[in-house]
Amino acid sequence: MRVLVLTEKEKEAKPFVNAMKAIGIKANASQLIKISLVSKHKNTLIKSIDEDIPKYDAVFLQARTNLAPFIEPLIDSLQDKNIYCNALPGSYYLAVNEPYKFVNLCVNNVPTPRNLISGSGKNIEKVSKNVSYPLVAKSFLGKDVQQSTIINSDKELENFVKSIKTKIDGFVLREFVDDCVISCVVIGEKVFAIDRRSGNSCVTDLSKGRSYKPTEKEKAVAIHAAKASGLSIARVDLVKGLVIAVDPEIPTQSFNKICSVDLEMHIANFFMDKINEIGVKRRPSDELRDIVSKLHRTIIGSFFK
Amino acid sequence: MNSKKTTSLKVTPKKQIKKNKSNLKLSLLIIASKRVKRSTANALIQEGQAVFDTVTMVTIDKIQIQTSSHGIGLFYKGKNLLSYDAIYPRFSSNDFLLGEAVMKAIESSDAYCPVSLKAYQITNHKYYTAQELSNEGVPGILTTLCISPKYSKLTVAETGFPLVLKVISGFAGKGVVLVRDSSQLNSILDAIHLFEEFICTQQFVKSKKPGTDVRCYVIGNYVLAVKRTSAKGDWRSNISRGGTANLVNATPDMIESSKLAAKTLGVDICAVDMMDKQGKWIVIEVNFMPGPFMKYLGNMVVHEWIKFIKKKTIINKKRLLKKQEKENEKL
Repeated sequence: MRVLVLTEKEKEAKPFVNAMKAIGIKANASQLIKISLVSKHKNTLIKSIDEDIPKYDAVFLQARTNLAPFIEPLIDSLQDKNIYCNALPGSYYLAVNEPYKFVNLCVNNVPTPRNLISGSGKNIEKVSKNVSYPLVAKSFLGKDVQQSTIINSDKELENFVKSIKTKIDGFVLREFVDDCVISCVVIGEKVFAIDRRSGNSCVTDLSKGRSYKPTEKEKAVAIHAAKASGLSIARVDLVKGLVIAVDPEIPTQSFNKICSVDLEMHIANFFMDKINEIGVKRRPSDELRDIVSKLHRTIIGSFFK
Repeated sequence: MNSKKTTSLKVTPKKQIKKNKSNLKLSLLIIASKRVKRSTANALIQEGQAVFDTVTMVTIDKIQIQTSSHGIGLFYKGKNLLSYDAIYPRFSSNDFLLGEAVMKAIESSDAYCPVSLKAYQITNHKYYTAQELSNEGVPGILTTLCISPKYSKLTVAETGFPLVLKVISGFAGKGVVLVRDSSQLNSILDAIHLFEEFICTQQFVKSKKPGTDVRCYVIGNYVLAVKRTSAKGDWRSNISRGGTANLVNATPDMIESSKLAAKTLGVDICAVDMMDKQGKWIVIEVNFMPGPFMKYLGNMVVHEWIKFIKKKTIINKKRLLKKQEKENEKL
């Protein structure tokens, strides 16, 4: 059973590799930048400076969403080679594009706050007639958030429109649900959560939150959101049971510390179960070993004994 | 905006091509890129009006997408755009922020759509296109992708020199550089790294007739081949770069490869650019939003697109009506 941990920086992979090795998985780490894809006739080679990737049964991938243009063809070819990956093709394209992400969640019946999305800044005021305050307003340049603010009145919205100086590619007006954010990590069917409440306010810094036991409904919503986004391991943020964010990158350190869990070990166990479920790859070296052991059981074997 | 009388773009005088003999009332929505070319837009509206009862064209940035617990809606001036019988999205890589969301919404509706979300994502990525097509056996060019210039030696070892360096989301011949040796490559890679671009390299294939290639418009089972010839002094044959175009007979391997490319990407309408490599036609790229070369071909391509969309819309609408009838019977 072999798993390759693919991260952007080498040190990020180490805790996962150690956890996997502790339960008997042959795990190695590699950096995404060391990989290149080569498309030849009827075959895609996944080349790496230090690893022979096709020999692995599974790949655990942790990377920023803005690497989507590289990661998407990579996970597609991993799937073609029957190498299990915690992210399905299309999941990084979803994660990097907020309007697309929310449309996808809505199409898959995942509860989310109401969203109004449009392309031109000129449309903001027209669109806002259909929403009630408070709301979260975000403007985008490309797929990146250019501005994000909470708006409580027509006047504030007007100021927001005026503050958009450059040409934008789109904006989102989202119903602002005034409650604390519950940040969850989904690993298969398991959910770990942090309540980001501090006194009466909500903390933006995850490490200042506190451990939280999610309700069965919250668990189900978080798992559903991750699955609908093509991810078996994900971070999902909820407010009053509504999904406000899904991300393939998980902040393990904060969760381990606050929830007193070992997420790396949970991920290692998840991969162990997954590979047992899909089956370990047969390699030429394994087959050779089988032939030798069969030969040992024949007359030739006893002769050598 | 949503009838023949009101469209968001000015319409040239209507020319009757074919009357809609079917009893079904058919509506067509064209969602154009925010950088839509007016002549193409006019031709689409004009040809659409000849065979559809209602034709609406709206640019993507004017659309309002609403998501709520009741579901998803695409709106323009209060009208739900997902209620159209056919929707033809024509987006470029500049429309990605909303393009993917709109495509997802369209795919969740009952409307007939000749293109797919998967095709939109893949065709706007030079390497991904090469990978998907070559995996399905479409003849193409050896193409590579990597993140860091530091490790690009691995990929250059595969392509060799000269090579073609491409920006993965480039279009109309933009972001393509011919690199002859490693010293030239190193200086270009520095610039690429500065702009945080991914490194996509392609083997340089010498065409049998340099400066020419063939664009195959795939429209269902129909393939229309057009030869493009580059302008003097340019090795790229894109019409937008001054190239010229004329109709040619599609060879059997052109037809086979372009249809297979369209099938792989799940589209009924696209354009497949091909070149002659030592007597064999290979695919260079696939266009999600191909220009119809109106300067050289007039309305010919647009006419075929609309004719095909109408045919498929009727089939889809009849299927939906049958399904509805069955559901009503059950009730």
